[in-house]
Amino acid sequence: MMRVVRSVLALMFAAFVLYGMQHTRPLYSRITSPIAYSGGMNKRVEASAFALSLDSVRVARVLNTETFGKSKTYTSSGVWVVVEGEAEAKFETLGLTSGEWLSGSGVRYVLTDRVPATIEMMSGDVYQPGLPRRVLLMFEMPEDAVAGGTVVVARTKLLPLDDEIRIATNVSGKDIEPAITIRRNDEGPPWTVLPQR
Amino acid sequence: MIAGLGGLAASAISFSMTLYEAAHPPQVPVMQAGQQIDTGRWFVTLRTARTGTVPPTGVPQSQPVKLVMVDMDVVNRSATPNNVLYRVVTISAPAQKLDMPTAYLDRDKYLAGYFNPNMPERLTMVWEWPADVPVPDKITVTVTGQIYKRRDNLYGASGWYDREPVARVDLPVEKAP
Amino acid sequence: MDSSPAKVTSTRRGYWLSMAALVVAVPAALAAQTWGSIKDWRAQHLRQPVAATLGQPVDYAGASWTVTRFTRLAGSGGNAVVLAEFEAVAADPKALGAIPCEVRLADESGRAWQPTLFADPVLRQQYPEAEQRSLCGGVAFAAIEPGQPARMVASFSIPPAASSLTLSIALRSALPNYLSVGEPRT
Repeated sequence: MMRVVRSVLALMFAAFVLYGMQHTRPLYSRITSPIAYSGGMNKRVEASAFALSLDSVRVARVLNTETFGKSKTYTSSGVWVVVEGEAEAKFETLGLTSGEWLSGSGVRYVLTDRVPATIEMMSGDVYQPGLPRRVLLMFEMPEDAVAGGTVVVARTKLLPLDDEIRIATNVSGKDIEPAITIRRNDEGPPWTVLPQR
Repeated sequence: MIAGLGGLAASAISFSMTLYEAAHPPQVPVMQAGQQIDTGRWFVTLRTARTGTVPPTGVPQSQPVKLVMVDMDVVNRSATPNNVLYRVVTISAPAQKLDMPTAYLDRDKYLAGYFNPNMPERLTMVWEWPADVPVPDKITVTVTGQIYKRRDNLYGASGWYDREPVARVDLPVEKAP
Repeated sequence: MDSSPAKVTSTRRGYWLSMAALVVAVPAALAAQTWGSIKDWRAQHLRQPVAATLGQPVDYAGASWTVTRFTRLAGSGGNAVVLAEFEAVAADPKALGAIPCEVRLADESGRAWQPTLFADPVLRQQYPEAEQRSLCGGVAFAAIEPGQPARMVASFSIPPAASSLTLSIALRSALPNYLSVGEPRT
């Protein structure tokens, strides 16, 4: 009789310990989360494999694109956020395929996949060591996700424990332009954001 | 010995639960077109259904096939962008397994990509219908629920998991070119 | 329950034998599990250069390789462009073409550049024939007869200040050996 009670108690204890371990351990996403390097606007933020600086964030209700004389209008149920900056690989050739906008409340928005690759965007480009290159990131989000947002850039979404750069954008979200146009250029810088300011 | 008995008991319980569920299919609420359905991860409002050969891009295919198209409004209620709607909204053809549908964003009249959180969008999901099966006058759309697990049982990873259907909606199928 | 002394001894012996077996089995299982990873790591990180000189054929990966051009030009956007042309003569070009090939350019500080997919406009003007060649890999060997040279090209976009450049050509089957050519001094 005592032996049965003892086994039952031991089982219950084991279950309790396992439950406790399951619920006090950090989340899987946290254990495998990228290593973040943080900074602000207009500063070069260095990760171990690449560096990034952002110098412009613009918000608009409508996004137009002009490529090779063809123009297209993209409407949204929210707003468009167009971010520009400069990125550089440090030691080896790499791509920066993952870009996210993290709203103040922690909701994620990814680089838009509505605008075709004829507009040169960060995720399609290759970065060579020692050759800094302008980057263009376009997001679509509800108006209330703009204020206090952070841009998060990484080589890919799939590599755990890789570098990630987080830049706080300090935008108020109140300055919304009716429309902006991204024009692809034949020479000089690959694109221009209009109206210029 | 005890472990063996325990294992036997567990498989017996699991088997009888499966049997019970097969004998008593869960009652799925029947809802109407235009009603917002809460799946957990999405709000889905089914609008209309039609059949034709021209996809929502408006450009006829070079080799036309029979299509069944369902218009709907969706809102992604989760904290990350997602595009896996084909597991949430399903239709069925008699005695056939349909291929994965294609989603078109109404705004662009083009293939839909990710649906960003809290941004209502209207879209059309398009299924290829088998050539030798006539399209019925009325189709039943099943909407499946999903739940969020903060820690799954294997890795302790967070994620969304498919659950039982939360609604069934009958839609009349209009004939379009 | 049977608790005769002989039975107890044999049970005990079995217990300790199992424990001893565990001491051997656990490290063995760990070693077997990690062996693949160790091999991968070695293949990626331990490299043995096979030195080559511009214009001189060198045997590598079962073929005779010659780097025929290694030159630096001013690029169109403030960068420098490095053009490398090389050829390989193999007894079985098809087999060589099936092996993944990696071409890189490195400088003295350890920075490494991969070939660019689109050639700089400068190359198109100054070396239009380079565009006829393909990158190292299957395409380059596809239409080549045994004993005929397969002609290949790689171009790189680098900062003009980069110095002491080394071109490396590595075939998966020949690792950890790779072909290494230094930039000719001018």
